[in-house]
Amino acid sequence: MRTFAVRPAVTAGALGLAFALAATSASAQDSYTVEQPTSVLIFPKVVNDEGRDTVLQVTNNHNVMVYAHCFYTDGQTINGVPRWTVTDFQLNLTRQQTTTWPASTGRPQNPSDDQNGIDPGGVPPTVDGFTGSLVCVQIGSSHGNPIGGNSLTGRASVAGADYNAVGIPGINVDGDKTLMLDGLEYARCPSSYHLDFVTPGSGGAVALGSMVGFGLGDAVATVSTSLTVVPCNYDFATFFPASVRLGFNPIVDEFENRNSVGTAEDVVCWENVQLDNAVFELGPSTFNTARVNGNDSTGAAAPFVGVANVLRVGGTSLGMDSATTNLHAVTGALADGQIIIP
Amino acid sequence: MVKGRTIWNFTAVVGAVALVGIVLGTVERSDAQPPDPADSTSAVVTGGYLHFPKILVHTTGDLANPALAGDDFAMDTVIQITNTSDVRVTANCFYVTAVSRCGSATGPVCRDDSECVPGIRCLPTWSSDDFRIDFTPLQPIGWSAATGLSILPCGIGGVCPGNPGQSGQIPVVSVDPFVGELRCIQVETDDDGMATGPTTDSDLIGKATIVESGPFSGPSEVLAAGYNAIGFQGVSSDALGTDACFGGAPAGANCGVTYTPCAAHLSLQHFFEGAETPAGFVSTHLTLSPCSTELEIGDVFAPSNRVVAQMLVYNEFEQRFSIAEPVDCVETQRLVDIDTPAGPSGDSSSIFSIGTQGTLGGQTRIRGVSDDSGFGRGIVGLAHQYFSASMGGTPTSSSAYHVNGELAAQPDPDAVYGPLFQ
Repeated sequence: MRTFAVRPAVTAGALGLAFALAATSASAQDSYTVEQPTSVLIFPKVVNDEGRDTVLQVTNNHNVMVYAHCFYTDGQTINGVPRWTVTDFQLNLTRQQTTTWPASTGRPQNPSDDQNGIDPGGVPPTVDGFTGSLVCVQIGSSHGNPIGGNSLTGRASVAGADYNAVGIPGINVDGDKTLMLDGLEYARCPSSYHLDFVTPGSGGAVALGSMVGFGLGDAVATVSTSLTVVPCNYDFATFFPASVRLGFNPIVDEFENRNSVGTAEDVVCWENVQLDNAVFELGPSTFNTARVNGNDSTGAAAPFVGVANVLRVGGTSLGMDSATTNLHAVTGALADGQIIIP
Repeated sequence: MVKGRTIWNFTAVVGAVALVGIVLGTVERSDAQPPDPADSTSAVVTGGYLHFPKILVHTTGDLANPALAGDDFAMDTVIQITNTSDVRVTANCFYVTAVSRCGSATGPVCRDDSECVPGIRCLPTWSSDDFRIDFTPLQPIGWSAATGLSILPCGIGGVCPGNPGQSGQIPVVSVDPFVGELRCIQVETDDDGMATGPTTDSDLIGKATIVESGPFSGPSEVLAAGYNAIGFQGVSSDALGTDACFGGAPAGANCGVTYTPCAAHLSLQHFFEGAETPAGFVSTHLTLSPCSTELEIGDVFAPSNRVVAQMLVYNEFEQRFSIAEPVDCVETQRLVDIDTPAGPSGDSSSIFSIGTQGTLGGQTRIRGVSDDSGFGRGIVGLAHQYFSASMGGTPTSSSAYHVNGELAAQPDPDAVYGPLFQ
């Protein structure tokens, strides 16, 4: 039997390893957010079509220079053929700097133009008819590699309907071009959400509150809901579009009626899913909740992000307006994803 | 032996490098660590405590209260709360009324001094009204704040497959016009659905849509602004506690449930007032609500209900401006009215005006200033935007979104003082 005297260097080394492991464990944050600064931002809904435009805002929440590599993905379909094209650009944000641009015009690198503020680098305009998403990845320097600085927040205003960008916190970022959204390098994305919605076509109090009864509304005022979804997997190196299969199970109304729609939609790249009464076969209820579950082709849980859009149409003499909200994640329902950048 | 020593030395070097790396990493990223998963205070998580910071109602008014007229928009708030669990859940809810009244807490509702008898001031008041919602499994319940629900869907006469019975009702808000907020807290219940005490269960989600129609003189527009309630998840509980605590136990609080913390500071991304966007000219109304409050005290200026919000405003030139603003109970005002008189007068001089800042967008960081009162200084925020075709014109669209919040350590934990769980 041999006895070894542990030397100070070894002790320090062992402690260092233990500390490193402990720190890794302690920082293994595994939840997406729409409020806190993160290292990856996903804007699931960016549109520039039919008179609608989107104003995007990205903010550096820290007191150091921050860089981001951003990717527009055009998910529009032309004559039944999806475009799935990717356009990238870089943002350079000084400390605490926020920057804004309309998707239709972008933001030229031109200090003398009418878009005041420090230009963050050239932001290209999107093409007419663009319907897709924007992803921004925090990088360590100009044209550098990804880092986990958790400095970015974002907001989008789609034709006057606002939502916060989905944020993916960096945890132990290794700096290579494949970002693993696995709960170790970056947080994972949800694979299931709670979606509260009203029965498509509902009117009355749901559409216009109590104002229908006061002569300010109209009995034909109605509500409709759609869900904008993008898979939480991106390959910006090969442009191969990811997909996710959506199921709605269960769907429950306020009278405890239960229903389900096994596969309502296969989302490839980007999709706006209209909640259709014929598909959902809802009863006379008004308020409903559904679990929206993402699966891959094998039936395994698949990650995705999205926003809900509610359109209120005010009837013959009134206009219309839409509201966009982020989705509630089902606690613990997460799945691994990845983002590959060139 | 030599090989073994080499391994040990290698281990030591790797370990030392790891230690140095971690220390350096800790220093370098001290302000960049992601939040702990337990700190899930968010608009996208289920919660045991829900906070809707903005509820508006103005449908008609009566002789005592300002009636709709002229350019006024009628407004109501459609609220939906859902039980996401497979078991029955009960929530105790509190409407907080924060309207102003002429002269006293019993005077007629007013929006400014001009709506009171000459010589009488329009003063802020505060009160709360509670009610209980008994949810069946997975049940969504929705209602209009102006009309409430006299019977819950599975109550008397309700046709529900499981038919578990459902008691309770949702009252109409206390006054019309109504300005205020809604807070709901999940409580433990017995087999009869009676509240028996605190629970860390966090099964609720909530959503509110502020719907407006107008102008009254000739309705032509519908506005809809939706937002999710902020959810706080229960972390620990004490069956004998009566208060809801957030991020810890403030001195003097008897915590029934300790929830995830309120944000240490907020980051509002916004357009400057008067900015022209593709959706129109923007006017932003900011609602701030202190996390801490005493629901049984009707004093709007009570120390527990007051927070001084310090704001740092950045434009896209990285220029910084600052202002401090006291927040009593729950307050909503246009951004440009924070530092200028209410109304259009002086708007162009505001640090929130696009004329002053010169850029389309900005970031405003908001922090509740700590004092020696012992009350927490967390704040919840909501931005509500109006878009119009011309500056100051009739709104054609609206939207609401949450103010971002960072969950750094709070010097003073927050508490809502009850009793809340019975």
